Amino acid sequence: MNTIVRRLHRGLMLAASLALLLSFLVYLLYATNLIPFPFDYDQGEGFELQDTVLFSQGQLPYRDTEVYPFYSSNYPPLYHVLAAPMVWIFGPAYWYGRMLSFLASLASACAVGYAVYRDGHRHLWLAALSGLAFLASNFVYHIGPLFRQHTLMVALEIAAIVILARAFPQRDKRGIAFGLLLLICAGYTKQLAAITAVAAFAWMFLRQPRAALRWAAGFIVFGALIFLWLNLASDGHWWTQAIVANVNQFHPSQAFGLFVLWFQLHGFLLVPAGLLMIYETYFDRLSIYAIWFIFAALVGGIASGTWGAGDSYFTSSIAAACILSGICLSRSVKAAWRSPPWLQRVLDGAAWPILLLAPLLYLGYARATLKMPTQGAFAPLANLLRVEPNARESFYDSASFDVPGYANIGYFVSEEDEAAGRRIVDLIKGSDRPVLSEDASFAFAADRDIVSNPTQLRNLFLAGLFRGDRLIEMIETHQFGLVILRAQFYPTPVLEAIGRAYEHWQTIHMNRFDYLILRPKSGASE
Amino acid sequence: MFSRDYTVTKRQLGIAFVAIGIVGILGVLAIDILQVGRQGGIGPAQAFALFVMVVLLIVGLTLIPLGDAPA
Repeated sequence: MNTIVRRLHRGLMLAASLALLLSFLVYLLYATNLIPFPFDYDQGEGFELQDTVLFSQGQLPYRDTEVYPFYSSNYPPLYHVLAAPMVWIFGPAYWYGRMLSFLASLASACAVGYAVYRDGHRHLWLAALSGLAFLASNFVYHIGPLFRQHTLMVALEIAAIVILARAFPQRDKRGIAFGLLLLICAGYTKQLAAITAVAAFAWMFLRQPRAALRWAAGFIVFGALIFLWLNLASDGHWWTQAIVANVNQFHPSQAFGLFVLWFQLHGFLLVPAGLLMIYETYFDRLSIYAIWFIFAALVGGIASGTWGAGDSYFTSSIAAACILSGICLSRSVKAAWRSPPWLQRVLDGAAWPILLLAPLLYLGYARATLKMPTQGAFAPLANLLRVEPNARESFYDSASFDVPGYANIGYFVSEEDEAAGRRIVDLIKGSDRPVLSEDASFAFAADRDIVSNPTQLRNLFLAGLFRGDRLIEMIETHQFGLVILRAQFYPTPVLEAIGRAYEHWQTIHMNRFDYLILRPKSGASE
Repeated sequence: MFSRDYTVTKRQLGIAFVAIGIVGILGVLAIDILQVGRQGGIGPAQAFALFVMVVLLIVGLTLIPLGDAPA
């Protein structure tokens, strides 16, 4: 019986590994396909590139949006600072920012696997599955290779948490300082890391309140000094642009929909993660992973309902869930629990079912998070798995594209997409004036000024911090050769001015989006 | 309390959870009482907050009997 169960266990582990490796292969292909693509794939990538360009020129991107080019960033600097040297070598390009994010996602998976291996009684196979499970998440998959700072923030968070988990209980001052430094770095990569910082200090306080308060004081002073420097160096625009303008409307239905989707996709791992947290609550000490998971899932999940946020706000909780579930299953498979006698008897009795259950959970998770091309070399597999394209003409995504806030990306770009982008660039080159575009990539390719950041102007306008008189005047006097709209994110008065002064010329379809090309209304001087 | 080796116990954590849970439940319900003229009763965000606070309260109550075990 024992031998049969162990053989079955190995067979199922192999099947789970193959399933998650398939998911990893799709991720690699997606990254390989996307990284060289020279235009925006996800809205806002071009503006992150513009931040990088400004940093490479020694300028801060936190600026006055009332004067030309009406541009400002709402993100902290670290990601762009790290990418800035590439501008010196290669000029403005998307590939290195995407590569940086992609490598950060791989580093995150390694850190998840390492945490499971170290804290889960050194079960290498399950540790590897935990790392692969992180990358298999639909939420991680589609944001992983984007020119966005979120993935780097998550990588820094995971590294900080994994280091603190060991350093703080051992009173390893160097380790604690390094872990907290990584948390500061995560916070200055994206503001959302504040949730992880609060979780880390909450856990530290539970363990050693005195030491936690001391470290927190140093952390706050260090973080505040950087904050003050940024604010002084930007004449106060850091506060306005990166903090005030980031407070957006909350949509409960979006948060609720994403919570449901998060559970549907990751439930196979959330259940063992939850069981480990219950165990720690009543029979052991609460781990930093459990506290991090609760904060990241609850606060990050609620924050996902704000305008402009989305499923990526769950990424930290997914990393925590992968670690917790991996540790839970590793301890179960290795029978390494230290429990009261009654619970130990229950766990001993469940030993062989657990051997089968652990890989089955990863298999179920791999199916729940399945996304893949449905054509070409993947067509036979798609037929075997009975999946049909539901996200573009040749891509299947188990999350579907139906939930508000779920980033409707992840499909592969085509040659037609790139050709469409080139057509827009050619149109821009046909005019010698600047263009007002919701997608910065075309202006980069045409070597024109990057004028405005539409979502930022919208946020500032709603906060009462943007009038746009000068921008509206430029629109009304046809000082832009073209206006290119993708989602009409500009503030209402700006859109109204565009409507008065520009007319629809043509629509170009790229990456599932219709780009509206507008030119000055007839009679206006060219 | 703040000696070098002091650590929070499960009972203390439980008491903190109960206190936060009670204050949170009262706070969520007070939104309807204090905001005169507000229509529609308890909304989805309030219901979610109420659920979280009730869970916190229950977990807190079950932690208190665990005494001085470290949290």
